[in-house]
Amino acid sequence: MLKIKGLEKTYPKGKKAVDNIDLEISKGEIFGFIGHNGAGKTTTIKCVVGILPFEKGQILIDGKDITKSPIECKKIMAYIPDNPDLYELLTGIQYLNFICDLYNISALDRKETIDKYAEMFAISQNLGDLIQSYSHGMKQKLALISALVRKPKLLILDEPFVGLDPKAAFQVKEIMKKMCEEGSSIFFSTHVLEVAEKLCDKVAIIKDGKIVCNGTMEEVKGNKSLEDVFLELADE
Amino acid sequence: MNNFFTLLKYSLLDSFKLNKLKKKKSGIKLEYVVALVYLLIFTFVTLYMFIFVDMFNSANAPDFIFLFAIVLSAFLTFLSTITKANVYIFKTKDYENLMSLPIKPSVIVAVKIMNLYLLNFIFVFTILGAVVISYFFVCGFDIAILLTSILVIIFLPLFPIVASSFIAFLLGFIPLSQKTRNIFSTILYLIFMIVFFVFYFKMMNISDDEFTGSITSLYQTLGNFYFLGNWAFKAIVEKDIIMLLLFILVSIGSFALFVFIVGRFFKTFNGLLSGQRIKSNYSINKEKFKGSKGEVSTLFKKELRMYLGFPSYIMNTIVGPLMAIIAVVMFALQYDNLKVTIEYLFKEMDVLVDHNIFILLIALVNVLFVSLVTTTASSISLEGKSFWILKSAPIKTTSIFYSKILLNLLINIPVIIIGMIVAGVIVKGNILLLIGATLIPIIYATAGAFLGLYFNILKPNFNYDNPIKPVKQDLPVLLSMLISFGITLISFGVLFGFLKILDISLILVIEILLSLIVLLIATVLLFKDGVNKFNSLQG
Repeated sequence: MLKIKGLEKTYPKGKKAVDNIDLEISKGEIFGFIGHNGAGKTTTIKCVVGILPFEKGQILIDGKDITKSPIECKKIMAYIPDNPDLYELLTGIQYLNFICDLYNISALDRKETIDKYAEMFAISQNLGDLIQSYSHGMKQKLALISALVRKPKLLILDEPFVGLDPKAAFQVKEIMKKMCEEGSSIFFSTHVLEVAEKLCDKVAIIKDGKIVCNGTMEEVKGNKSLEDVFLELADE
Repeated sequence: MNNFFTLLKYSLLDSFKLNKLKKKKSGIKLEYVVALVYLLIFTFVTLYMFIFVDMFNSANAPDFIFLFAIVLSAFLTFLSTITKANVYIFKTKDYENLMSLPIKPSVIVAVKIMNLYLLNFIFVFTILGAVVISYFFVCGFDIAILLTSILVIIFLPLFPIVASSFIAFLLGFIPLSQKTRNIFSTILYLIFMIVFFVFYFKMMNISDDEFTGSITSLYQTLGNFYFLGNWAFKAIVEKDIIMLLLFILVSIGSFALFVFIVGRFFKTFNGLLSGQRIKSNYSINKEKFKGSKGEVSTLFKKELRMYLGFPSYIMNTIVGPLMAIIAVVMFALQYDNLKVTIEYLFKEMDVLVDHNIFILLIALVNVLFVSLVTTTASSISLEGKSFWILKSAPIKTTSIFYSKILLNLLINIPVIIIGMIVAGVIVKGNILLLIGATLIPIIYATAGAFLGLYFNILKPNFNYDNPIKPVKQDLPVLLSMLISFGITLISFGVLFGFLKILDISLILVIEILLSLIVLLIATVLLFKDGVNKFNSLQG
């Protein structure tokens, strides 16, 4: 579903944020991407999503190259950043309709999905309010709904659990599992290692722009906890 | 007091991006570029004010320029602040951060007002500074006038800022929905603007005799309109120290009173503003869901919603089309007088023209006004931290461009077409000439929209703390304005340059060709270089 080969990204002032990264995510997998602050997680994710250009490497989404077929790739992906700044002057429902229009979601499909997820996340009655009145958690939920309504084949999330209440966090984990059962893939970064340990099929640890560890959860952590593995690698 | 200066220092560093100015771009410090651009603007304003001083001098009332400039500066400061006050003082992104610090709310309010003051000070300094220089050039240097003018310039912005902020503060307590508030603000602003421009155009069309005859009533009208301005005027022209002290006292006093009152209710007011935005009674069953009508249509709908939801964006970009409308109305009302004046002017230039010249003149006036402020020059910046939405969506870059350009054209083109039709009817001009002349401002409006967007792609500002800043203060907006002035000057230059030797129809063809060349350049810049640069923007 997602193949990253030899990805390199250097920022204008010479800082190499991502250095020769190789990753592969198959269909139906949940892939966790963990690393310290400034390790290169968000840069990698933004390159995958097509927001950041990169100097070397290749990113294939369902076999299509993000640099050569960006629109086709984006049609099957959904991305939610760690701090989802949305259009503050639109209402929640206007924003959802905007996204649905861009992804050509039919009127019937969007009504069903929006209704379902808005009820699930308990923000139905707020959809008529301006997004500028939403709390961080509500914006996070709205952004999630806007991603789920597209039924993406690849869902990319940057720190998805930040700002979510426990019930919403649980619901998101359940949704992620269900999506994978239906054949979609999920690639997400997180600092919450317990969640990654329970949820992910595969995990990669990034440190200073390089992948230091990559494989199935069992391969990576062995007999230890993911936290122990992470702290050991961080100290090296 | 320490807190005030500490907060002010960091607030100014942030608001005016002073750290960035010290950076070098291509070996040139940005601050030098900014200084150069300001110098050019100041020179232009001085030359413009010189025309007024000369006009008032020939009516034996050169001092009137001071009253005129003081009232103009105060009025424009009031008008621009009323659209900004809530965003600069009350609904700031750093509100919660500041309120959690050991700083009195009154200090926070005072610093916010100082930010507004400094913005307006630059503006007042430009107008009054230009007036003082022009006055000295015509009437000779006077040290007393220079010193009192400096003091007036320093204190002039205070009262209008305080008055408009106070009105905004009081209006904020009225329980209105955001939509109603936006409509009310926009209408209020439009009324003020119309009154101002009608007065301005009347002033420009007044003859010397009429001016001399009505000078006393003009003094009284302006003096009564703004009593504080009258005191400042007397302080400068009559060297009245008492008036000067009164002016300074009222300016500072009103500032202190505002800071005291608003500081007292600052928390209440901000709490009220947050609460007003929440309705929480939406029902999805009442929603009428529709299918997509295409990506350009979807993006355009979003652009329109964002535009209409942001009164300051409207007010700062509607100036041009509004001036175009008023110019056409004044033209219609004053056509007979104008006809005599223009025909006399052309006779003095030894040029034979017919009434169709007015159609071309109105077209070129439209060129200036409608390309004065383009929505596209700040439209990329205004995506702000939400830029990721467009970048991660499966949409063509050109669709994004088209949606932003369409908004600009929607504001300008109807105004151009209606204005030109009115001019054509009044003048009873040649229909083919009218159609051809109408094309000129339409083409330039399109080119202006392209260029504004291109400049914004080159220099976007995604990290503003206040959405008014990209609309009012950023380089792409300034560049667009300068280019539009330049284009208008060239167009008028072509008209007057060829008037003696070519028929008006041929001049029209040259003007159309010129506009098409500008449009071609703008198209290549935006759709070749602009697309690539946009695709590498990160937000």
